[in-house]
Amino acid sequence: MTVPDLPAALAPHLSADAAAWLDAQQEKVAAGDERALFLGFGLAPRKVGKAELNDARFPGWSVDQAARIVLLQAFPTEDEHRWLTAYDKLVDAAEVREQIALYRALPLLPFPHELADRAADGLRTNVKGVFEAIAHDNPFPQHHFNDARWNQMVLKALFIGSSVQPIVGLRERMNRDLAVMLHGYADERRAAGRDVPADLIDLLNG
Amino acid sequence: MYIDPHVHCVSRTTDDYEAIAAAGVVAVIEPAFWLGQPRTNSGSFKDYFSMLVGFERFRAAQFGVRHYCCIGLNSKEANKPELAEEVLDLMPLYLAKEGVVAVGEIGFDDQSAAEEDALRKQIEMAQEVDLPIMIHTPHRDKKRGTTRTMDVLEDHGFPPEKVVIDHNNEETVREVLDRGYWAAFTIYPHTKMGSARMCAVVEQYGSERIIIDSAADWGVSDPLAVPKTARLMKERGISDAAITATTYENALAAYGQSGQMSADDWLNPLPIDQRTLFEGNSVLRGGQEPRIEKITKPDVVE
Repeated sequence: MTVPDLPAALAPHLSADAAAWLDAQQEKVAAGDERALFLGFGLAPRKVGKAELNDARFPGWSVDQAARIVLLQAFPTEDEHRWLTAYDKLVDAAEVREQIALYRALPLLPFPHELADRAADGLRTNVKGVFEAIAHDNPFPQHHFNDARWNQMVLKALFIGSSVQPIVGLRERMNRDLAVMLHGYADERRAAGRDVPADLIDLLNG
Repeated sequence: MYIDPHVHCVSRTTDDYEAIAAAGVVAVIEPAFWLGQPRTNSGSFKDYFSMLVGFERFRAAQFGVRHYCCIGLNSKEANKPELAEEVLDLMPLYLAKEGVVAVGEIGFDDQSAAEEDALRKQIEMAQEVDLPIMIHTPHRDKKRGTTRTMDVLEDHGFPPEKVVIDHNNEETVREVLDRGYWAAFTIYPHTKMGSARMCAVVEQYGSERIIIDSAADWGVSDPLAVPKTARLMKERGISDAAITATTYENALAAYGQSGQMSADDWLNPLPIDQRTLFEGNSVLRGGQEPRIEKITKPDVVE
């Protein structure tokens, strides 16, 4: 998977002041300053604004979310444990939009094997926007989830009233077990006199 | 449109959210506080702070209510020095976050030395991150506790225009206003202010720097206190300008000083926020009358 260049996509959206702030903060973070990462992560919206990024490679991203991830990408990766600890601290204390940034960015981050567990944790949320940051327009699950995890994600999308169409790899990752679960879900809805979501019917019909 | 600038949403139900949204409450501020029983470790505080900026913000958004919060160590729990120290160490992790509009609610309960120590440390934090402060005034020995709180704030040179002193009554309001602070009143059955007494305060003192809130929490309290008091003020002939000031504008002006809260958040939410933090739009259109009666649920669960 080639990682698209986020700093390049972000640059045209930054005022001179915002760019100067981000450069200075990035430099501190690149030197391994965890506190600068945490502060920069929180302060990003008030420093660079919240405009839409409008970039096909980063669907649904905003400028502040991109700035947050540029800072995270700057944090040194030589020490895997230290990097993952910093990521976990950010997730643990994250507000809603920070959580969304941390999960949207999964395909752009190091140690994907380790992050797969964290992504699965993220999917246990009840916050639709956080769930969709992982499940929608995000290639990470397709490449790093085993079938059990993948199947739970697809089923939960339906269950919380989220569309399955934006799930990357939806048809490629179809498997027997998932088909059984999806048919079971459709039967359960019909038995309860509830409607079956249109995109589930599409999926079941191949 | 109303703002309830002090309400403990984590203790309230979705019925309450439906009711306040229908009554025209567009934004709420949830200060960190005591949960009704003491917490035994700082981890409980960490998860509580995370909930205020996380799930509760989302829960409010589902009803078209914009949710902001204040982070702080409340006075009751400041009396356990070891725990207090750990909680104060956690706070910098949260104070710089989006949607945190003040340090609060902080102040005195027993008026102990430990409470004063925690208050002073948190005033310094508010100075460091340039946030307003929400002050909880003690329920016992209130008048002296309120005076003492303002003395401590002035000791640190904290500007009164960035402080909301909450839970005022007829005995405290004059000094609070005279010393340049925002004076908030909590409409709370039996222990704090009543709606009728509130109207009398507005009739006597006007509406400048006066703020009305519900502080609805886990006790017998009313999340509709702000719209109900607005209705009573209207019935008693208080001007629309004074009603708007005390139930919307003043709270926005005071907490808007954080840079984390503006009318655009609910009148013209950004696309990124509409996708995550603001589902639907509770702003009353076309002269629709706010409803403050209880919403009746259907008898049949679908």
